[in-house]
Amino acid sequence: MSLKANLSKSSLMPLMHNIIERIILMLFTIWTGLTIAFLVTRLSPRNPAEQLLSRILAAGTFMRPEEIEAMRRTIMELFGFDKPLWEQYIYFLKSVLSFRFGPSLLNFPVSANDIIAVYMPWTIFLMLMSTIISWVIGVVVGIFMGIWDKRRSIRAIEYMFIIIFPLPYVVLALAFLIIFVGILRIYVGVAYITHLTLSLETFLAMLSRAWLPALSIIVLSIVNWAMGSLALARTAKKEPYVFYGVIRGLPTTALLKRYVGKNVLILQVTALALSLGNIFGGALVTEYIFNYPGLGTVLYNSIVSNDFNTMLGIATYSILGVTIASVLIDMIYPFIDPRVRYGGGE
Amino acid sequence: MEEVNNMVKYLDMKMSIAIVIVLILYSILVPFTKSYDPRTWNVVPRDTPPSLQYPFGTTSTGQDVFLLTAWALRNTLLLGTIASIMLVLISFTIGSIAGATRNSLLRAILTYLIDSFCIIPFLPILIMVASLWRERLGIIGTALIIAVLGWGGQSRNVRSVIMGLRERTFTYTATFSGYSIFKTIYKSYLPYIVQWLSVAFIFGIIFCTGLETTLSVFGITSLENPTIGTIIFWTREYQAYLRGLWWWYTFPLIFFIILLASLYIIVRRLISIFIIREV
Repeated sequence: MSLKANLSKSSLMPLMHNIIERIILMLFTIWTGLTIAFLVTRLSPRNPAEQLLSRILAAGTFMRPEEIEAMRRTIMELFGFDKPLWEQYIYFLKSVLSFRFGPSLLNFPVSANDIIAVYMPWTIFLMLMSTIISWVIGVVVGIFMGIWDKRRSIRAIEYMFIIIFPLPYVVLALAFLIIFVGILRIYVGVAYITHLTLSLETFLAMLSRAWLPALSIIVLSIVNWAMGSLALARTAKKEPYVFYGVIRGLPTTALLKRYVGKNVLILQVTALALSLGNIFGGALVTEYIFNYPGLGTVLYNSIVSNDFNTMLGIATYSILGVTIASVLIDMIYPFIDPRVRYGGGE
Repeated sequence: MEEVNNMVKYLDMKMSIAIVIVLILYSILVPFTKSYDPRTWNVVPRDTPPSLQYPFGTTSTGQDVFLLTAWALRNTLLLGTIASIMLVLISFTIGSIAGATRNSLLRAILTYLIDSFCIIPFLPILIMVASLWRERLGIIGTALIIAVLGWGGQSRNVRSVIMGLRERTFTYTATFSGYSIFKTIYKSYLPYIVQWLSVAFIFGIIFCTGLETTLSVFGITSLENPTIGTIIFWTREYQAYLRGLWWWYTFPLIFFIILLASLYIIVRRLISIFIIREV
């Protein structure tokens, strides 16, 4: 019904107009985000090319001074550091458009693209799994808590959540590491596979490595989603139509599904899509604490060793993921929630 | 009956406020009882478990955990407060102008600036910037960096709050009476906004202390000055988890968790009180 109404001729034009406007604005936002990231990398007083050169020299090869000078020039040219800042900037924008980020400094001469391609599946595996599991459990728990919020046991759970909710993730992750690995001594995989294949064996190896970091994300995110859903459910319960339903004596299941649940779900589906856009940047803190081979670890290592190309490559994916997800949501939203229309309409 | 109900209703908030005050007093007063600088190392015997003389034990760096915790709480709270004030100031100024202005060009520019700051990978850039200047970053420097990079999300909230206010009748009255944007914001909106700001301020403290802890665990703040985060950093450096020095990390963390939970309870209650009064 609502789909048909939205696609009727009268509302199609404003919708198209809105979509085009959103896409243009999105391109500008992406460009600004990339520029900020670029400028931050060039703030560094350390020159990565010099670092690479000194690393090669430290490896113990003997070279004459003019050879060293020639090599320095080659490396500077390769990374583009011999050019003025604006040319480096244009080079960077070109590399974003073609998705070729140049050689990685840390793993020279492997290109940053190859490194990202190797670690991306690990990150997506970890983040996708934990985001979806925590969303499903968190939203369901939150809705139930909202419906029965007068019960004493629910109050107890709420206070437990209140203690966990404001905790910085780092503290929770360390606590998990101490409890599960230090005290309970449960096995966490150390296997690292570079060539991932679609087999059960690979999946199990990844799972054995990812379960603890995933668990720590899931616990904190469940609390997050549950508290959000609880607040939404409480607001929904104050609506007159829910009150009317209660007075009519509707069974709890009907209230749960049709009156409160639906309203919470609409908003939480949007929030889920937004957080799915977040998974491409890697979970820097999780991966660092648990030594998980994902984009977050690569990103951290590239930050501390000034590996600009890899850093900007990962930042680009993360920026694209977030913006595209939020624009997609804006476009799909009128179809999920018939109350929302862009322009025109009634 | 009503009175009793109200007493019980806000009991958790009152308790939380009391706890926060006690923690602040603890963090300010305890350093005065010792004659030495809490930052110095090797002033007490190392690795002693909790005893009468050292109620929380001592660390491998030769510091009294009771004193160290007080000093760390003080620094963490100070940093959180300063960062949160700056964060709220920046996000409120930009967000309110973006929401209130009738100049469509200015609004578009500010909205798009806010959006850009929302999508940049915040934590990596924060780590990058902090690691560049880590030697010179004191408490105020760290707070400033957090505020300058992190105002996007809050700003977006302010903008939507103000846009809601803009459509009310009193705004039109103010505009037709010849008020400028700034006068409208500070005369007509501020009473509404003050409630919102106080909530944002406490949330800001929770957010900024969390970030400081994260940065310190990575080892990119000034590590000589104890905060909760740098305590965690040094326990990791000295392998306190494997060597069974549980008192070193347990006491600071318990105090920290209690502090954060109390702040969060206060903020939740404030939200519910304000919503009740508004309706």
